[in-house]
Amino acid sequence: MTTTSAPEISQTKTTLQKSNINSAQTVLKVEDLHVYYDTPIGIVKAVNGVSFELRQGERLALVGESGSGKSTMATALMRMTRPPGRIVSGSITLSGRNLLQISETDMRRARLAEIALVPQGAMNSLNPVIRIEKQIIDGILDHVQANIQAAENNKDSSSTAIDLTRKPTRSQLRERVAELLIRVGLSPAVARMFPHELSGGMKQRAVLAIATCLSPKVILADEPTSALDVVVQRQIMQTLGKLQTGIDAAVILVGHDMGLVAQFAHTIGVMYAGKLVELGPVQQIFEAPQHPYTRLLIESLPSFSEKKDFIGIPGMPPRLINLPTGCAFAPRCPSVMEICQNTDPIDENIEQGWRASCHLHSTRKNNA
Amino acid sequence: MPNLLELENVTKIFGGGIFNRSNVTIAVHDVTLAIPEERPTITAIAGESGSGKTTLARLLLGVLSPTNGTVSYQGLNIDKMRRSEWITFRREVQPIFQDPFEAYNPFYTVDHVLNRPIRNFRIGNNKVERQDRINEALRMVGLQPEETLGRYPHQLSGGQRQRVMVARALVLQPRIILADEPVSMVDASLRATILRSIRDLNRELGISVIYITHDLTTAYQMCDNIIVMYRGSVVEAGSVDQVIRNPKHPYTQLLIDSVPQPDPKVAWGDEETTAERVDEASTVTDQCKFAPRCPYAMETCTQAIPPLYSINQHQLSRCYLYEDSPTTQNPDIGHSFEYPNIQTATQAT
Repeated sequence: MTTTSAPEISQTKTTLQKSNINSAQTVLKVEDLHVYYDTPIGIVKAVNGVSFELRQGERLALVGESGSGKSTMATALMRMTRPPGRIVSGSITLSGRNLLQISETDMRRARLAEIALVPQGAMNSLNPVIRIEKQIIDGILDHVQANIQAAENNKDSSSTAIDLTRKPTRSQLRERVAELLIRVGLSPAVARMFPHELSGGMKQRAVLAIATCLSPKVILADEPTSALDVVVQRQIMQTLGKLQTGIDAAVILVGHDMGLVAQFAHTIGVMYAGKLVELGPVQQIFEAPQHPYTRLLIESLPSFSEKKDFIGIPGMPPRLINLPTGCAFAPRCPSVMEICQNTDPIDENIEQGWRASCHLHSTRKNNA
Repeated sequence: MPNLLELENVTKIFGGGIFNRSNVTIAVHDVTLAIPEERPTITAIAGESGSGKTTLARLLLGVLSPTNGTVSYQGLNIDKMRRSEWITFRREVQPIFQDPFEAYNPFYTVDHVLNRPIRNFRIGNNKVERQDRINEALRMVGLQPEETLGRYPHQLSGGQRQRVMVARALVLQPRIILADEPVSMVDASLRATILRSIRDLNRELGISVIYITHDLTTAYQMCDNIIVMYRGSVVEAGSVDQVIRNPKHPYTQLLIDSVPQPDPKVAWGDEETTAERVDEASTVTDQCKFAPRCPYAMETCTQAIPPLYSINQHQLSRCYLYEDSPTTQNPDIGHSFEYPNIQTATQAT
């Protein structure tokens, strides 16, 4: 990725430019992940061979239409896939450990402390009859308990903001909650409030405070702003950005709003029919998308710059049961070729850290 | 000639029982708007949640009665209509709602939602005629009747379901369609087709459309005129080219600035935006409602509600920053609108 000159980049990104993600180490590595759903009429391959790497401090956005497998992907990364879904094969390596092979107890300890999820519609996930304070403390205490037990067995404590091997006192917890609330832009007084006393944006901030209470290495945000107004959406995304740089975590943003992605992410992964069809740096992809699907997604966005006719993507996303061989996008693709109908496209490297899986690319390369 | 749909000094207040006079919410505050009969347009009503845009839509649909002021359809006050007039009104003003997933009964095929209104309003003389109506409406929104009819809702995609809802409104041959966030539940890639079919209704059939949204980009792309609301008041109104391209009111500027542009090179406005809304402001009636959040707030802003200033022929703004501009004499905000040239409309003034 070429280092871009400063004025073009928005403020929120400059902090990250400094930390230079290219040299940062990999925190999360997903290799050939397959997640299937068993249904009476067949197996739905919702995530079908996805691989990517995430470096410390990187912001990756997974985009795609509904049914492209992005939410399945998010739950699988947390190892929270529930029947009829199952993780079939692949590996998810988080700081050297394959999450798919560790025990359920270890996984429970890794969630929130190492990889935290902000689920879709998270603000409705707050318990309406429990004060915000208690809901934040719950997660911390649960991990403390687990860690105290573990610490007795071996002396391997992870370095988080709170010493997880000792039971914190009441005032320590209060202090921590206040600190977390301030960090997400809320007044410490919110701690004593109930969710119904907060606006949508404030609830979303409270959820972010919960997600970051143990300074995880990876924050997974599944459409964190889908129910919010534009003004609040920007505030939340800025808060998430600040939080993330503050604790130097990596973020995976799942969503379908390409505008939001363009403004927030460093890297985009475009999902289609359970596959990552294009993955690369935001700026380059927006300038010259390599996969026709990415191009159509970007073109279909309305903007203020010019009034143009509404462009949509013709057709419908395929049903993921019994997908035929060949490119899944072929029936909707404007530049479809014969080879697309019967051969699966493979990932082609375009540049360092940029790949697309499309036959257009391989034929172009062969001709050259 | 009476206007097609007209709001006259409409105010809607919620809450405030006998014992609790102070705790009221002014959802819509003194709105006057006329939608002319002869010049069908697409008008956007934009604002955040809590701005009163949905309340305004429900007032226009006649499901709510205004606390003050009148809503009239073709010159008749909808609260005082006779039964036959009311039926005509209900047929000619059609809503399209936000959620195409909840609008269906999963036990019926989609034919049901198309047949039901036809039967309710006793449209068409015989079966063939009725069926033709349905087929025509489906084709109008870009669906093939053979492929759509007889299917169950779960067999259609979100985009198709919403288009069937547009077709449902269409079989009644309405004069006005009120679309309340019709695409916010639909995938971005499918939005375009729905918006295009709604716009075609306006351009080809001369149906006026009121498009309620918080998405200013689609409003800009689809509409002729826009009304920006904040906490029940109209803060800015006019043609989209003026209001979106050259926003005058600080709130409109904030809204436009907050829209993430699908281009990494265009920076997202980065200045700290005023934090969470202060919630008591909705009851305050003697000051600019945006003043507590406004970066340009002056002393005058907290003393009286600013009038609508006429910035130019096609733009009104309720902000003291434009005190030098003349205040508008005509209370109807529709007079600032720009009307497109549509073949079906006669350009009467």
